[in-house]
Amino acid sequence: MTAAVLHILLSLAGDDRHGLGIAADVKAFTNGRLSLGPGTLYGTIKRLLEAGLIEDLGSPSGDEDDPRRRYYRITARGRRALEAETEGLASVLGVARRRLKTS
Amino acid sequence: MSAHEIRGMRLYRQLLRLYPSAFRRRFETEMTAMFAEASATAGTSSSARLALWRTVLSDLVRSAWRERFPERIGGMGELAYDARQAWRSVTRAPLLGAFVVLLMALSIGSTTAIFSIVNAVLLRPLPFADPDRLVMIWERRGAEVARNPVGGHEYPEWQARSGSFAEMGAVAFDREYNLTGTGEPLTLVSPRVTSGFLRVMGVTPQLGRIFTPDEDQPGRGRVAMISDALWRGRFNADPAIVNRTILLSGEPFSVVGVMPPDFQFPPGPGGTRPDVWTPIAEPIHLYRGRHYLFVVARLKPGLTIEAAQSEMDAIAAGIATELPSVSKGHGASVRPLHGELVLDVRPALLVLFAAVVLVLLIGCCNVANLLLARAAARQQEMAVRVALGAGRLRLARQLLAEGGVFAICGGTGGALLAAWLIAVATSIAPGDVPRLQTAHLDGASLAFAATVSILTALLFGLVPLAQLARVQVAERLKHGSKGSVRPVRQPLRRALVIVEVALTLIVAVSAGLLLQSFNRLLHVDPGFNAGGVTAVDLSLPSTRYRAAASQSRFVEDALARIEGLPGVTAAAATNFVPQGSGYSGIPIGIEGRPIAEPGEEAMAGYRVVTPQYFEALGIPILAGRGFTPQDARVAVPLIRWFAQQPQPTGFDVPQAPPVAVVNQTMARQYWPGVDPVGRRFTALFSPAITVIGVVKDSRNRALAERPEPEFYLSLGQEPQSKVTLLVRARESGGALPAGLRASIWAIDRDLPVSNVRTLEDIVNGNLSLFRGLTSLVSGFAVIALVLTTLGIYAVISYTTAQRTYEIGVRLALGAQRRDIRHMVVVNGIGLTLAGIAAGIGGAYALARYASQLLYEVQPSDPFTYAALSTVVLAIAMVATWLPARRAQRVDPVTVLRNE
Repeated sequence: MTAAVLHILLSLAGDDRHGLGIAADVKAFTNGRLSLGPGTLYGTIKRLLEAGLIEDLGSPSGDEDDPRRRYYRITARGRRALEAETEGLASVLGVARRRLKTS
Repeated sequence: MSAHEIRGMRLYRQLLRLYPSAFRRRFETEMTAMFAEASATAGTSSSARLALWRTVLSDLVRSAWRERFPERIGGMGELAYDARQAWRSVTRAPLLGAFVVLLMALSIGSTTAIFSIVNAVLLRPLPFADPDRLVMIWERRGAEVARNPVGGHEYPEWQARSGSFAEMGAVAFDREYNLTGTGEPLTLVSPRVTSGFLRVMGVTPQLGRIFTPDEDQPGRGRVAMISDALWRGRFNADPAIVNRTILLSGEPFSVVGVMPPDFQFPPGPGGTRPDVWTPIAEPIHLYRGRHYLFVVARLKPGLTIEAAQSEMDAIAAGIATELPSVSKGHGASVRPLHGELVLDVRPALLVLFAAVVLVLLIGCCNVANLLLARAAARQQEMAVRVALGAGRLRLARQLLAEGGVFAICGGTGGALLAAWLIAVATSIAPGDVPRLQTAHLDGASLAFAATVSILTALLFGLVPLAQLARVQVAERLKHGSKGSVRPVRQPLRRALVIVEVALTLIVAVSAGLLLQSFNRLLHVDPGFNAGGVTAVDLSLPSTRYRAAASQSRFVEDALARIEGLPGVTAAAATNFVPQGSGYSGIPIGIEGRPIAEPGEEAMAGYRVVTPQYFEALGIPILAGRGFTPQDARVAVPLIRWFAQQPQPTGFDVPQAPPVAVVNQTMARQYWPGVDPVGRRFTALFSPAITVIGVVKDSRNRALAERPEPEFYLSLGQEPQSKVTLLVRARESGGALPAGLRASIWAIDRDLPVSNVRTLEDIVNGNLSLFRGLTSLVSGFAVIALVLTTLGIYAVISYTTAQRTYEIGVRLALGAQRRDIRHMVVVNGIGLTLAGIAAGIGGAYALARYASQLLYEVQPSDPFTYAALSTVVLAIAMVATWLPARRAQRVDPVTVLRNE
């Protein structure tokens, strides 16, 4: 799972968002360390859609939002993939903490 | 959105084409929205915008690559492998790589920028429906005048008799309305048109309707269409504008329609955009012999211009026999509209394009040369690879991939540079280049840049490949990397130098001829002294200044007030500012000469001036006198346009006689060998006019045009509602413009005082296109010379270095060091002379094509060719000097021992 995939899934795990919203959210929760450009963002979204990890909600009708925005939602499959990945990361984190402390 | 953002957005949209189309279709809107947000956040500071583009571009290139070649990710396909290898190989010699990319970016960028401009102005079809069927029809007078405005007696007949055209229409540029009643008074660019004109152009108004044929009738023409810019600027884009009444020069006109934003035709004086269109609505056919119409027409489908031309020939011949008094010898000429619009700029643009393409080629020669040197140095590496079993095809792919790296980097840099250059060019270029403002980095430009990049990449890849084909593996491995014992023939590199020199000579000669023309033009005596003169346009509305006397009174009053301003030494008025766009020619009859056959009357231009005009412009009176206030007449105007036109009131009361001042050319041509003062002539249906003085010739139309016979009438005898005030003052800037406005507004607060500028600005403005062309081509010539110097230097020092061993042997055998130096220099000079010989022909061909751009310089001017050949030879000497000195210092002992 690449950094872009992980962070986009993490962002959508919180709430349904449109592309710009995802980029802003990722930037915020990584304190600006990860800034997704439009190409990387939508390239990844495309692959996530193809893999069935997220779904396209289309543009919201009627409300005052910009009609050009389309919203995305994480699927059950996406949630499972994210959980598996974060569990893996957690164990990596544990190992890292122990070893860095001892060295 | 700021201009930056709009331009950035346009560029980003274009760049999105890098993605596969399916991806683009799906995500384009979302991605541009995201870009817009980032662009707005970045603001306008240049550092923030630079950072924005850096991140956007790197994101774009990486993700576009991924979308294009998804299967290569992870599995490291051959293409990715080649790209990576190529990138390594290029970055191994970063200085050389950077230099090649820079050179390519510069050449591709400037070529693409000029191409975009040529495309916008010359190639792209006009923004009208079926532009290929639009033509202009001019009156033709024999061989010498191909484009005369059309007479009032001709246009209605052409329209009635011709069958080749679906529609025909006419434009007159003889009004300049003032808009009042909506804020500050404003002078409008106001063409008058027939309803047919709007149908020819296929105008679909964004609001309201176009004129009806009924509105072409005299008395029905109080209607107007306004431009999108005027509608937005003055009427807040009010949709209720239709049927509203606006005041044009004090008269009410009902607005019937608003033009679409992109309809800006016909361009006014100096390429200005029209603000308001009104119907001609007058008995056009009565204005016999008044040549004031520009005729456009739409060919019927399937008809050719030639067919229309032969029909018009027959019609014009018919009119000439029926109305010999005004039409004898006059033909008609049908020409494509687009060609007519770009008539003045086409050769300049094409010369510019030729020059920039030549510089591109020179740049390519240099890059190829560098890569050849690099390839030669890498022969060892290649030989090793071949020996280890690399197929030649594999190596070829490798080399092409390296070319590809250069092409992508150079092409991207070039595209960015082009976008910037176009923005600069459109902001500084003179306004009268049609459609220049529509130039931008569009799909066509990007395609052009991509094509050029790919071609150069192929060239750069293939040049070392040609070298590679001759790699003799065994020999190379045996000899190692040192120079060969046998003198190395490098036919390709020598040929490149010859080509480079030839191309450089072409650019340099073009620049030389233009510079000489420009220099001669700058030293032409215009006949008047423009320094210190300020010009102001005034247009007196006929509602408040209907009587000719009130017009003259206003001008006199204004001039009297202006003369009282501090620093003003003379103030005058004229109908046509010198070297402005206004001009009027008229048939004249000389008293004492037999009445000329119709169509063969003498012609002269005329201008209307006030008494102080000659003093204000520093035009010497050579004989007789100038005008005085006492020359004013009651019965005005002097010139009647047709025989039936009634005599002016008061023509039979005693008053000052009609008088004129003539220029030297008119005196010489029509009264050769006698004193013209006291002689008389008539102009169309005027009373006899007495010549009271002769003044020095002025180049009133353009610096490059020789003076024609011309006479001046007094404003007191021929009143004008549209005048330009010319004010000579000790200082032209400072408080003067404000003083001028105050003086005029003290008499009439509702009068627009527009276009305050110096006469020098007008004269220089006319030269700006030529100045721009000359400086650009000269700049290209300098770049070409520098590139060629580098090219010659590189080749000579390389071949000299290769011959070090040979030189060592020669020295050891007793050759003089002077002979060695001589040998190297002769080598360089030989190449240069071959290049010069090849370039002279090309230079002449280009100069011949562009000969209409030259002023009093022949395309074959021997001085220019000799001088620039010498310059090229001189830089070749400089370029060979260093390698020659190095060769001279070779120490035979060291060289021979090392071997």
